Amino acid sequence: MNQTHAFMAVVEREARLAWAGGGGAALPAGFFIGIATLVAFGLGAALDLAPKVAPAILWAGLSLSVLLSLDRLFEADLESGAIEIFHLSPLPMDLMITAKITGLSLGIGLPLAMAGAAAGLLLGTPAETLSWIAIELLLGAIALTSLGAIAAALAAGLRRSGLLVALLTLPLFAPVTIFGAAASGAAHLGFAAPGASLLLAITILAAIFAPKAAGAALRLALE
Amino acid sequence: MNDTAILHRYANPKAFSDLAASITPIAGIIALALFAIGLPWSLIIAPADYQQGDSARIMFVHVPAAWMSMFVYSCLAGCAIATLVWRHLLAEAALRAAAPLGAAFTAVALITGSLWGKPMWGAFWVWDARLTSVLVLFFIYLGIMAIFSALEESGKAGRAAAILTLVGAVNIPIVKFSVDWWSTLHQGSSVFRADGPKMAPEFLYPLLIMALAYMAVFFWMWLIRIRTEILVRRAASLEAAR
Repeated sequence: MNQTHAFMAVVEREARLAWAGGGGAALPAGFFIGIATLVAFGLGAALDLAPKVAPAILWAGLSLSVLLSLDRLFEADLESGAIEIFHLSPLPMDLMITAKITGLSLGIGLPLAMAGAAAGLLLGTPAETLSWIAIELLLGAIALTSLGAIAAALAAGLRRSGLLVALLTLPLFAPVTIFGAAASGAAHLGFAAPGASLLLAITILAAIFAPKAAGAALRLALE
Repeated sequence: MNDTAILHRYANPKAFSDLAASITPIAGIIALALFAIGLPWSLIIAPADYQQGDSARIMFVHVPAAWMSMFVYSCLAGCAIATLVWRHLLAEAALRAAAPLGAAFTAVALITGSLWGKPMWGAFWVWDARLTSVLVLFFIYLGIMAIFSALEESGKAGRAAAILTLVGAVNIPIVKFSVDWWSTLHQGSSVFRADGPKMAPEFLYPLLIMALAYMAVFFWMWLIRIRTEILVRRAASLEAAR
């Protein structure tokens, strides 16, 4: 079995797992829309601010929704021993993690981006900018999943790992949220904001380098 | 004896502990002496700023703390590399010992900065790039400490924390250059500049004394904490052997 074959197998497995059992990716997507709804309720009398703060709500919501799906990235596979099997396969650890991130981005990131567009509509974002915002949210989901993989790998196999992942991802998610919200905030002005190119840059960097750090951390968990 | 032989000799925890035992009190005395000079000089003797009045004196406590928050992180990154490459117990103990100190310096920088910000900027906090990146630095310190407290097995905890330290090191140049890359409310550097310090000597000298005092306090505390860490491990291994 060659590497490409193994890579695609892991991507497919991860994407299928995201959709398997009890609603699949509808859960994080529903959670995302739920956050936007709660913030809208919280705004109350100041609801006319909603279109203005929509980028902030969408990007905070995306971070939380990705965070929620991170604990299944390595934890279940570590318990079932699947990670050891991957470790024995011809696929190097870093590429295996890239494959898992790709699968999760397809299985959960894509539905989250669409849910984000729907939530944007609820918050009064101009409809013509929603396609751009969905693309930006998809880029953001890839970057957040890659960076989150580092935290998930560091916390893998620990008790109360969920809380640790939340604390570790907080600083890692900060730049993505800043550049992403800046890009989405400028989308309705009809030009590509500097935030959009920075978001693209950070997504590419995270997708290349984060699997290496996550791989080092995961090897540690396997010892 | 060549240089690496000296390094190898003090890489032994016992030899390091003995050396640290003799350096620690000296570092403590130097730190207290520098504070005895620096604090009265900066808080009483130095002239009040002609625009900001006495509020500017916070600078003497704030700026060295901010410098230390980055210096300690650089020490952490050095320890992290030594931990990952040589799997050295001493490097790991040093990493563990330095993280709370760095977090404390960062907290002091953030708190004194916001106390100064209220009268000067009219707000305790603004979301400019410098303040935000230092806040992120604080969270990274907390994350490193959380990993140490979550993992019981010390060798594993050290390497996991080392990985996070190196990932978080990306933030250090962002903290340093944030005032140049973005238009921040926080002012740019007036001491470390290519064209020399741009600060009047009556402010510069007490500031440098305070910076040395902070540095001495850090090494004092760090050595105490590393020795404690070595003792804790020895106690644990004796306990396990019993």
